[in-house]
Amino acid sequence: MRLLRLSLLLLLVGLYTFVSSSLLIFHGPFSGLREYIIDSFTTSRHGYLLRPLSLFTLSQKVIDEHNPNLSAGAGRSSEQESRDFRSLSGDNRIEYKTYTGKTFTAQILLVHNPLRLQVAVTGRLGDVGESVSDMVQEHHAVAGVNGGAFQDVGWHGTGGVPLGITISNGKVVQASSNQQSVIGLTAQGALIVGDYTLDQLEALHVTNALTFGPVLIQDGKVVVQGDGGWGYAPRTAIGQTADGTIILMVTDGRFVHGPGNVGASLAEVAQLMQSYGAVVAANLDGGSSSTMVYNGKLINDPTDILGERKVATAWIVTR
Amino acid sequence: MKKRTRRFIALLVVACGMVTVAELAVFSHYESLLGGGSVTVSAPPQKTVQSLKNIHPLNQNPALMAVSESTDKFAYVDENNTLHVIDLTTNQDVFTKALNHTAVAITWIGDDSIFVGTEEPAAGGKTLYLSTISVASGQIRLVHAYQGFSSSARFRAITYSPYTNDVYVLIAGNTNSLVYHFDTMSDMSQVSLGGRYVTDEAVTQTTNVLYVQDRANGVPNVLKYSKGTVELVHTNSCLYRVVNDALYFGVLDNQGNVIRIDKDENGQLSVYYTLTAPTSPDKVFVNGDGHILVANGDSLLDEQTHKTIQLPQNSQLSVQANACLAWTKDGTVLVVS
Repeated sequence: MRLLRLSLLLLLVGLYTFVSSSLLIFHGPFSGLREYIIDSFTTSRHGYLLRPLSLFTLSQKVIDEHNPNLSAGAGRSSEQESRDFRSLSGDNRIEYKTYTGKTFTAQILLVHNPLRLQVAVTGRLGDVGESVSDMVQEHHAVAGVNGGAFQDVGWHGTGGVPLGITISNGKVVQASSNQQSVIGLTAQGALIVGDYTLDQLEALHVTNALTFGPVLIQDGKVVVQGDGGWGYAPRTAIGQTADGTIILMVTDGRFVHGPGNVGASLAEVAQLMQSYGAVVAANLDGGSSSTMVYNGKLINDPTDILGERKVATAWIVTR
Repeated sequence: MKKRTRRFIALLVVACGMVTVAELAVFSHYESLLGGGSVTVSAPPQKTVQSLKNIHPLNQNPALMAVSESTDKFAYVDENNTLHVIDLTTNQDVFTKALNHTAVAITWIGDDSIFVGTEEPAAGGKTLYLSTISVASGQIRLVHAYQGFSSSARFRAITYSPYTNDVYVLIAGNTNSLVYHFDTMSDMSQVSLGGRYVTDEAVTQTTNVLYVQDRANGVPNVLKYSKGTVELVHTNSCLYRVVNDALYFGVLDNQGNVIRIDKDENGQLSVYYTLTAPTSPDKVFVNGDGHILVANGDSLLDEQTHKTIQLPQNSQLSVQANACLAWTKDGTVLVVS
């Protein structure tokens, strides 16, 4: 009888815990936590669990509003497109910085000569991806971060098939007839971000490009609304200052460095980019793909158990 | 209302109150933080034969010796429970790390990191720890602590694909086994294999097909698990190795000896190689090129090229995923990969 009563008590307490947690998270005063939970599920493959976890009190419309969108409608910047940084070709300085926020640590590289940047593509295109370390080594480069989108059905993607538009060193590696959310570099060293077609990129003499997003900063202004709607996770981003310096950034997250280490929101990455003087910036592939290599060493802690993920593309800094 | 009922309700109210306090504390903490087709993966260069001296693995456990993907590095845990990495190109010890709990299994992740399985006794059984150690930085990351396992439970296999980022961990005791899956989000789930007693596993490199060897009615069988379903590949057979996306497995006779090697690739089953004589399963090794090597006395014969590798005298053979280790009690280890 006593055992039965104890079981009943545990059952009722468990039920209470579930219901009260659900109500507190989805309808309580913890708006930041609520956004984090919803964004975390919508950016994972477990988005379908949100409605049952919320006891069906969360509408599909609210969930849909949190679905990630590479194109944030930030437009394009004709001013940025016309910038010419070829005079920086002799400046080989690279500065390495770190930043520690409340929920993440960022590794930052400031590359003063933007013309050293190049999109590297897996050597096994259409087959499997490569780690950023391998791409950096194969190109005898000095640094690199992971790049754009790749086919990743059910999170089992091999990294072998880039999505959208990919241009590497002037060669179109992956084409698309549609407008894509592009992060590209012109022959004059200007980083351009926004929605472009392949024809438009070629007209602008873009020599390196890949597809991801959303745009974080355009024309010097942060264009991210709220926290960005992508939750908190490890992030990779690229930006450029008015004087041409390229900013490469990765953050940690997903509790790799402790229970408070949830990662960064898009808004936090945008703000950090802006604090380093970015006038243009965009988000790159994040999560377990987030990787930064500098001077032959992996300098962040990728979240995947296996370490560096095999990816389709990377932004590398050539010698 | 009865006194007993009143006490039950009071207990319930107190418990719920404590839960609410805990919820508010945890949520407030986080709020404060947050507010504001056919694939051909070329196998790495292999076929090396390396001899090492003074290798004494802890408890003479061959699962504490492993060869890296490129076969350039050899790792082992010594009698003092310290992990060592030897660069096989120079024979130099390039990394050491003392471990906190007793090591029971190691597996390389590429050439840079190592899965380390350790354990410690716990009330009524043991706790198994799965960690990764970066050889470059020395950083240890605890992947998971498996608690409440019986004293016979141990890590039997840790297998993964570096391309799809799927990791499968097999823990088995004397009578039961569990297989756990980790995805690239580090989410862990138990693989549902219908209660089979699994003794070995291997995963394809790009298609996320898990092959397992179970034991039913005293007979080993090879099965495959894909997209939530389990399918029998072959009864009375033993699992050897996955090379790229192809499984090589041994077909046994009624005496339990291997008579031929079959291959399962992209759903196509074929006879791959018939051995010249029935051989004990633990004397057969499939190398990265798909060559079949058979141990006979103190030699290892490549059945396809007919080349013979001399093994150390009185050595024991330990066949691992990417290497065959012939080791002796005096510390000699011959690595064939």
